Amino acid sequence: MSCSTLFAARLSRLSRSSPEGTRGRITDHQERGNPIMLQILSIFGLSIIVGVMLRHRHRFLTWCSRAADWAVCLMLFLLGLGLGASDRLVGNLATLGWLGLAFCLASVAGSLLLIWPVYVRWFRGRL
Amino acid sequence: MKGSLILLSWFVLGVAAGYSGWVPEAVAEEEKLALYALYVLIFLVGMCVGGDTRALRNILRLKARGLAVPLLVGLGSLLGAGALALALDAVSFREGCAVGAGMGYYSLASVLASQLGGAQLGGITLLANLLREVLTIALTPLMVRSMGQLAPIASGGATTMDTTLGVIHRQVGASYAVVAVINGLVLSLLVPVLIPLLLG
Repeated sequence: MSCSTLFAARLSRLSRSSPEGTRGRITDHQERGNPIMLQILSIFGLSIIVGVMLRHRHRFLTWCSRAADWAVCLMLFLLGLGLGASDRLVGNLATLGWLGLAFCLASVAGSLLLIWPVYVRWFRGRL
Repeated sequence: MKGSLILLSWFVLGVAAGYSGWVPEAVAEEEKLALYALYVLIFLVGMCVGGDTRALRNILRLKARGLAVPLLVGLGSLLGAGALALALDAVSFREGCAVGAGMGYYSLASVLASQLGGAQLGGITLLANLLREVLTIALTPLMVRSMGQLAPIASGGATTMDTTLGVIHRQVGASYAVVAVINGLVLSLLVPVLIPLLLG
């Protein structure tokens, strides 16, 4: 069985086990409204203002940067924990990998496609 | 690359801990902990952005040509991933766009996507954006030869201001390295805005 056939078969199996109303989807949260969005955007906007106010406190900002690195590690650990604790998600890890690769190639191709005319018009032979 | 491996190992450690049951189920299923950690992370990232006034001033000073690169790279990334989502029907169009909106900033993008779209979407976002960085580092020489000097900058997305900057600078020179830094800076700012908007 070729790779693409195998991938399509796995996707179709996932579709059958999806919750109702999400035909063909392997994700599980897409239809709900999300109040977290507003909170995240507000926190981001507020924190930029706080950052501007504290721009001369270099030592504090360096500490913030390090703390952000540790927060990312914690968040990635928790993301992995959520995936690992669910049998359904662990069973789909290979499919997630293929999807990740496919989305990577698609987003890179999209960027390259849109940037090509800009390169030809404004950059080629000028920088 | 070492930094990427360290971050990836935290994720793998989490999967292993969750799968083997080392961590009590109550902790694994506690969504509030991850949510509060996300708020702290967003606040810290925002403060670092606000504190770097030189970078903010550089963005504000940009003219159309300078801004066109990151905006088109971002739009292309969104549309490419969105088109794939439509073709595969495995995730919705908006979720597909959100994966593309990671722009290679896999650490922040994956935690945002997992909080707003679920663990599976977070996993896809992590892998897609991590692979984007790896792909850029590995294929920059080939991309420059076949598609010109802007190609690795488009491919790298938000990573062109840090992890992929070295290889881009080596292949395309200092003038394009400036474009790469600005591209990475603008796209890094867009990630925490676009993903919540697309998944909200």
